[in-house]
Amino acid sequence: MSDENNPLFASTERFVAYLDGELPEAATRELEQTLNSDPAARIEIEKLNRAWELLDLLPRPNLSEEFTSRTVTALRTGIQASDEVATPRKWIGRKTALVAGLLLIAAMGFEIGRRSARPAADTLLEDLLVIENLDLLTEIGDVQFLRELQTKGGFDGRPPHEPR
Amino acid sequence: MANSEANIGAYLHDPDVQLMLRAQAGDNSAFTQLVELYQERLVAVLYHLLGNQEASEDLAQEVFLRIYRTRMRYQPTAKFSTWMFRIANNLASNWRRDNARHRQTTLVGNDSGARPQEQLVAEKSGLMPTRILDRAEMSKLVRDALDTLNERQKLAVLLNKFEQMSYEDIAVAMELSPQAVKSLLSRARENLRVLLEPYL
Repeated sequence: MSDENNPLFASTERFVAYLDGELPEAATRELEQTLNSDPAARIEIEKLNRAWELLDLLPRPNLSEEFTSRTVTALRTGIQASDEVATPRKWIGRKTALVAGLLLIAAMGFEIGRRSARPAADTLLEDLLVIENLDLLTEIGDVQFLRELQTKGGFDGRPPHEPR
Repeated sequence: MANSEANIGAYLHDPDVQLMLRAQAGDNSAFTQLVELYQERLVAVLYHLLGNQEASEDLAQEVFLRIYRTRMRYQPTAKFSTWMFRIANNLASNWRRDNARHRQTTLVGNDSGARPQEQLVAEKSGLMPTRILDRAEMSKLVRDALDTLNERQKLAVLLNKFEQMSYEDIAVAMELSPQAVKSLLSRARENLRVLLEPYL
């Protein structure tokens, strides 16, 4: 027989619900009439009640002194952690900046290395025009003189700045 | 949807729900108030449930952290305390499951043999129910009697006795029907009556 169909269990359930104030009004009135006329029921309900009251003797744990501070610290840590989780873009931005910085340093290093390792022949080629005209340039001796010559059309007889 | 909105309206008068809504809006002092209001009650229930002070404090802390982390999704569809004890119940179940696995491993080969719970309680009392027991002894007996209840009965008893929660609120916290809670509490109280009868 299941508990629900057992009359003893059904009466215990009613008694407990009555003690807990969870019995509907009509059922409460009915049970109170039974208790008035049935001493065995009264004893039964009284025992249930007294056993319940004994639970007041259960030891109450003393919260350790550092509990509140530990909880608040954990909450602060949690707040920081949740803020980081809540703003992943911030973290992604930091990562991107870091990678970009590293790439820039690598590129600069590469360029410096490339320049310092440039063969002397490259420099000679770049300066070939100057080398070929070194005698002429030495005679002129002054850039200002060349500019004046160009202004007066002294190179090819045409007026200055005229399109060719 | 309409039901859910009606539920939300029903719990807005709960001052703790108001604190939680303030915490949701970014007021951390409101959340600290909730911690201060509930920390002792929560640790007490977890302590009786698990029988371990350190674990109960750790779990209580975890409950508060979870509530804080999920505050943005919070909907006041129940009393704050009901919601909090529901989280506590889930965490306590996980803790027990993990520890049961550990105990199973360590107890293999220890053939102590199962004995009826009533016998255990009687033995701890020195088989002298008529002797006047001091408060500490009686407290220990009550504690042992409580420990004979299964976990669901125990939680229902603790929420009903120490949190004065209604069957309906306990049902929400334990994810059961109110009728199931009624049966659970009835069995639990009958068990306690039988175990403690010699001392009534």
